[in-house]
Amino acid sequence: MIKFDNISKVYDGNEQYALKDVNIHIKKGEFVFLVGPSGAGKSTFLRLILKDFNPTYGKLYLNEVDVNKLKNNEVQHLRRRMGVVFQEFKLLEGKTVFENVAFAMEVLKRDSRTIKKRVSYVLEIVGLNGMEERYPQTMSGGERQRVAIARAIINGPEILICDEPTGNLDPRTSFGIMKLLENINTLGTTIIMATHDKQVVDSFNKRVLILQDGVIRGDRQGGYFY
Amino acid sequence: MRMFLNFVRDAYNNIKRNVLMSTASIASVVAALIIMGIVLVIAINVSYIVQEVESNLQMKVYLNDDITDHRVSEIGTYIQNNSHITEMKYVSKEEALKEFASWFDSSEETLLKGYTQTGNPLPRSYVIKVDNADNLSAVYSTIMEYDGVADVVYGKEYVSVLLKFNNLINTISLIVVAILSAVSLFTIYNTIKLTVYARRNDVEIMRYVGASNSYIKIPFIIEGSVLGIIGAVAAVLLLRGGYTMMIGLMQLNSVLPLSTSLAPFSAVMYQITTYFLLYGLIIGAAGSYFSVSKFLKGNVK
Ligand SMILES: Nc1ncnc2c1ncn2[C@@H]1O[C@H](COP(=O)(O)OP(=O)(O)O)[C@@H](O)[C@H]1O
Ligand SMILES: [Mg+2]
Repeated sequence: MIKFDNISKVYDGNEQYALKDVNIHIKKGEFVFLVGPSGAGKSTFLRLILKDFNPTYGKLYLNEVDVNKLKNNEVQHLRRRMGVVFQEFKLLEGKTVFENVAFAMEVLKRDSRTIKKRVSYVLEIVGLNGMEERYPQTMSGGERQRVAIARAIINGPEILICDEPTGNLDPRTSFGIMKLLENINTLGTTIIMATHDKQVVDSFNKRVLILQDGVIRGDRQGGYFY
Repeated sequence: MRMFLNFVRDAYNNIKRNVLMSTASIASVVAALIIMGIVLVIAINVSYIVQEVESNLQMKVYLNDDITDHRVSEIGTYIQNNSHITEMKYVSKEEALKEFASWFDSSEETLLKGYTQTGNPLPRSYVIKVDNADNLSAVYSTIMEYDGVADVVYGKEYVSVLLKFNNLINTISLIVVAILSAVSLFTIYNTIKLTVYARRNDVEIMRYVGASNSYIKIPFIIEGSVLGIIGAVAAVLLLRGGYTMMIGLMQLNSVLPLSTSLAPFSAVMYQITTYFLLYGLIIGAAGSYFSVSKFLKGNVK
C-alpha cells in the first residue's frame, strides 16, 4: 500500500540527509511503529506520506501510484483518504469539540445532518460522547488527543498517520490512546506511528522500523531496540 | 450561502482577535487613500477649473475696417461652419464702443461723443466660443488665414499654462496613486501574512484534511477585503470632513480666486466613494490572495 523506493530527502538549505536510501513497504492493515531518537527523520518520513513535499531522490508509491506525479487537486483527494494526529494535538482553540471534528467533514462539503450523525458516532468510538460542546482548552491532554483522533478518522481514512501522539501524555493516558489506536487499526485502518516512547513500543507487539540519522537500522516485529 | 456567512463570521472574529495588526493595515489603507484623495481632489478641481475656463473661453476675431459687409458675413459663415465653434456673436462698431464705454460709466457720454465725432476707432468683431481648450490654437490659425481678419485674440498663455498644469497634475497623481497602491498592497500582504501565520495550525489542518486551496484561501481573502473596505470607508468620511472644512475656510477668507470655483463635494464625492471602495476591495483581496498563496506554496517544498 505504501512503498518507499530508495527515497532520500534533503531539506532546502541543509546539507545533511534527513532521510537516506529508504526502502520500505507497508501493507494494508498494518500497524507500524517508527522509532528513533529525535532528529532521526521520523517526521520527515511521515510528511512524505502526507505529501507535504516530494522526496529529493527516489519514489513514493501509494496504492501503486507515484505520488510525485499527482496534481494539486489529486493531492487533496489523496489527503482525504488519510488522517493525521500530532503530538501537540493541533485543535482549533476557539471552536468546540463538535466544531473541531465536524470541520474535517465540512471541508469536504458534507451536509449538516450527515455530519451530526457521523460526529456523534465517532466521538463515541474515541470515548468522548456527550462532550460535543466542550472547548479543547478546558480538557485534559488525553481528551484533547482523542478529539484529534476523532477528527482524523471522521472521514474513514485508509491510513492514519500519528506523529508522537503520546509525546505529551503520561504513561496511563498514553496507554488509553494506544488502545484506541489499536481498535481503529482492527477496524481496518493502516496505522503508522512515530514515537520514541520505549514503554509504549514494548507493550504492543507491532512491526517496528528503527530510524537513525535518516537511515533505516532495523525492521522487525515487536520490541524496541536501537 | 451558509458557508459564505461562516466565512464572513470567521473573518470578523479574526479581525477582532488581531486588533493591532488589523488596525495597522486599516490605517495604512486610510493613509494611502487620504493622500490619494488629496491628490485626486486637486486633480478633479484643476480639471473642474479647466472645464469652467473652457466653457467660458472666448475668442475675439477682429475684422479690418476696410472690408465690405459682404466679406464680413462671409467670414461669419466660415466661422459658423467650423465644427469646433459652439457659439458666435457679431459685434458691430457701435456695440463695441458701447461696451468699451460701459467700463468707464461716469464719463460715458463724453467718451461716446468724442469718438463719434472723430470716427469710431473700434473694429467690428466676432466673439466666438470654442468647444475645447485643446482646439483653440487650431481654430486660431484657421481664422487668421481668412482675408479681412485683422487679429484673433484669446488668453493664449493662460490657457496653455492651465493645460500644462492639468497634465502635470494628472501625471503626478498617477505616479502617487501607483506608489501608494504598492504600499497599501504590501501592508495588507504583510497583515494577512501575519494572520495566516497566527493561524498556521488551522491552515495546516485544513491542508491535511484535504481542503481545496480555494477553500483555504477564501476566508483570508474575505478578511483582507473587509480590511480594505473599512479603510476605504474611513478615508471617504475623513476626506469628506476635511474637504467640507476647506470649502468653508475658503469662503470665509476668500483670498484665492480659486475659492469660488472649488468643486462642491457632492460632485467629487460620488466618484471618490466608488473608486475608494473598489480600490479597498481590490487591494485587500489581492494583497491577501498573494499572501496566502505564497504561504501555501512555501509549505510544499
Ligand atoms: N523544515 C525543515 N527544514 C530543514 N531541516 C529540517 C526541517 N525539518 C526537519 N529538518 C531536519 O531533518 C532532520 C530530521 O528531522 P525530523 O524528521 O523532524 O526528525 P524526528 O521527527 O525524528 O525528530 C533533522 O536533522 C532536522 O533538523
Ligand atoms: Mg518529529
